[in-house]
Amino acid sequence: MNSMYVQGNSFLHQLDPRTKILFVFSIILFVFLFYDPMFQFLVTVSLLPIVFLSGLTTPYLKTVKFMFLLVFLIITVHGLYNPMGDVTKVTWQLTENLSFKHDALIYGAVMSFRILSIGTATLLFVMSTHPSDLANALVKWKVPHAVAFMILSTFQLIPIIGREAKVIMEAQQARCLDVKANMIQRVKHLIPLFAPLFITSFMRVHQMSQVLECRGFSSTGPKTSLREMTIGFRDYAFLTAIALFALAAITLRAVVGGTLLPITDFVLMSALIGIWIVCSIYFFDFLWKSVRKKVV
Amino acid sequence: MKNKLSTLVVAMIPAGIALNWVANSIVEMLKLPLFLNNIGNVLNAIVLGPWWGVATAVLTNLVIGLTTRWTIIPFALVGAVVALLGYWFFKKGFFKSIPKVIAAGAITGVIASALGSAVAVYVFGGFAGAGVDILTAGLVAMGNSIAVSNLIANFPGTFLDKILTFWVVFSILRIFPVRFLPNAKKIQEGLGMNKGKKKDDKAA
Amino acid sequence: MENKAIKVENLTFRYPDAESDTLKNISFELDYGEVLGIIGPNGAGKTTLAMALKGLIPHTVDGEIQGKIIVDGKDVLKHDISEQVLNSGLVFQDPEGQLSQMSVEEEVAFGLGNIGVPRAEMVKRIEKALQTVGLAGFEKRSPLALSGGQQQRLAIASVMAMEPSIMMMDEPTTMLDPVGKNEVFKVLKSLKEKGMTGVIIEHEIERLTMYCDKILVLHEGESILFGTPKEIFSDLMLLKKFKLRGPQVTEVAYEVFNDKEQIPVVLDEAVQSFSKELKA
Ligand SMILES: Nc1ncnc2c1ncn2[C@@H]1O[C@H](COP(=O)(O)OP(=O)(O)OP(=O)(O)O)[C@@H](O)[C@H]1O
Ligand SMILES: [Mg+2]
Repeated sequence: MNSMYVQGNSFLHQLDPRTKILFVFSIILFVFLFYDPMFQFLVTVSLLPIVFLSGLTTPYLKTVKFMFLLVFLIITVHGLYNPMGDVTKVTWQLTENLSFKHDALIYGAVMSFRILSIGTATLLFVMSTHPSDLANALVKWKVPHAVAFMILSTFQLIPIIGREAKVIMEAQQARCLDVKANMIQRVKHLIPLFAPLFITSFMRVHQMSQVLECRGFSSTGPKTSLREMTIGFRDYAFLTAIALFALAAITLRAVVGGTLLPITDFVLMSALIGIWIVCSIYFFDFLWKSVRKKVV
Repeated sequence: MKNKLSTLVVAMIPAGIALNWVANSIVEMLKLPLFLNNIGNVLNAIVLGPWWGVATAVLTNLVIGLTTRWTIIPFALVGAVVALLGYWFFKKGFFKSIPKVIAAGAITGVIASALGSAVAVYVFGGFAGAGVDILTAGLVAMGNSIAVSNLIANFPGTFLDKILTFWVVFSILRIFPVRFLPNAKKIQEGLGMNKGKKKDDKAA
Repeated sequence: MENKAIKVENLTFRYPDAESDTLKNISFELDYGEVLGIIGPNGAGKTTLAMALKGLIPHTVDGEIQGKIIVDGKDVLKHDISEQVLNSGLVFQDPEGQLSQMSVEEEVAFGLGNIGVPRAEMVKRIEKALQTVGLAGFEKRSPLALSGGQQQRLAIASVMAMEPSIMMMDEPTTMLDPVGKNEVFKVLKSLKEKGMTGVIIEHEIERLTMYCDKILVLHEGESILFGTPKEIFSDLMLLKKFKLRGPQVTEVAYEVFNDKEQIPVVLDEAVQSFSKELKA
């Protein structure tokens, strides 16, 4: 199975995975320091040029889709129904008893942009980091070598066991299993499906544990790796920039507090409508593609 | 964590993760309203020990987070608790008969469902980035609070799912060839098998 | 006393809860530079023997073990397997089940990394090993995207790169298609030519005789014959008694020649013998 890694040679790709992990964590820190939709929005938007410069635009736009559904629900549902704060402060009266409330919209917008910025940072990390490099970085951070192995070998094992499952399903279908039978029947069929799958998996596990013994996995002493990883000038520059931002953000938080600028109805409406627009673009894109699929 | 992990554990945890994943896609193919995505956690908790079950849960969500959707990562907490409960019920002798297994699964289902909703509310404002979110939104529109809506939307699926997860693990462990089970004797005891009679696994 | 690559004395082993011993009082010796072929019907205990030679028995598999196994000067029963990686390496039967890494080069590097081979040395060894098994140019591929034969050659390369004194292989070709079998056999032959010391379990007797110096025949856990291919296969009557057959050429020649010395076990020899016979 593939991770979301996209091959490339950009600045981001060349950073050490450890630098990128720190980057993701600092984004999480930023968005939780403030309770201000403008700020969260700026963080999200400032990440987009990195997406573009890393050559990740297309895969990013594809995977960020499901986040927009989440964000759409959050801002809309919370804005309409969340009874938090001052319910009388209405931003947008839709019908007689349906309105977007000011305080609830702030919550919805902050949540939405938090999710979008953390999501974007995470995607940047995942898409620019080969899993083997991630594993290596973990080892450098004193995570047991065994844990790194578990993560990596899972990527190999999922397609193997998945294929076995398919073979077993086909064999059982040839015998008795009916995918269209009633629900109780299908539930009962789970056992003849899973039993052989579990048994072959356990056999595999036994063999793999023996293979690991033969490959010196339990050797004591230092481990080495084929993948070179050095924290270079780039990383230091990047980390310094992050540190400066963090410092500025923390000072700002201490001095000004959680909200930087007064939050106007205009800001909230823009957030709401903006998210709706992006969602409807995705929706129409989806519609267009399914129609085209049917026609062609 | 022990310094030197046995290689069996090291090989078994990825298999548990893969089984979580594959089981999930099998029930999807069978069009069953289940997930079974904790099956490897429970299995590993029983076969290897509770903390290995937890490790399986955490790594499962991490791997899925890295490959499909990162929003699943916080829900590792639920998987971990299901693993621990699975082990605990096994230890307490709940894996000795089908009614008991179903009871254990039901209790686990209730706890997992409450915990899942708590995570969803706390981290994502009541949603989870999945299909049932629409149902949650509908329930909110009908006048329920967000937490309650999430709970109602997720409860039936989760509840049923944990019962079936426990039942599948139970049924399979009972017919498992002893040769491939580490500490098979203890497990068979926990399953209420083999009092005195020795199983012949030569044929396998 | 001369140094032996493998020395087994009165090896007996029983799996837990088994009714009888799986290996019964086995003894043999192998010199450095020699390749030992192990044959025998299904369930004879071949895999069990290989696991004992590698130390997987008793270190990872439970059971009662008696006797003595010395491999590359090390007492297998007394040392942990992790101390034996440089003495012997084992290639398993199932090609895919041995692979765990995301690319061919990382697969070979995995074992090297575990024993702490420095990176520069690692790169050299990977290149050499992949060259030897004919997988140069496949470095970046996923092991899952390889054919069975390629996967098994990769497994061989991974073991070989660790440079164990003795290579052991448990039916490395059984699960492969004919093309894959040929590929692996080619590699085995070239390893033999390079002076490998090895133990190979194999069903295909014709091939085995081409690169084995010694053959051990197992039957129900007992070592019933041990000797050079010629010694073993000349005694077809005995083989037949244990429901085994000799190489085809031997079987044919057996019908033709009276003089046992003349009976060939490989094709080249057979051609010579037959042409000599025809001239006479
Ligand atoms: N883990 C185990 N526990 C109990 N018995 C076992 C175990 N592994 C193998 N056996 C038994 O030991 C005997 C020898 O098995 P082994 O796998 O060594 O045979 P083999 O010669 O390699 O056979 P094959 O040609 O099928 O590979 C068989 O009767 C088998 O059932
Ligand atoms: Mg065998």
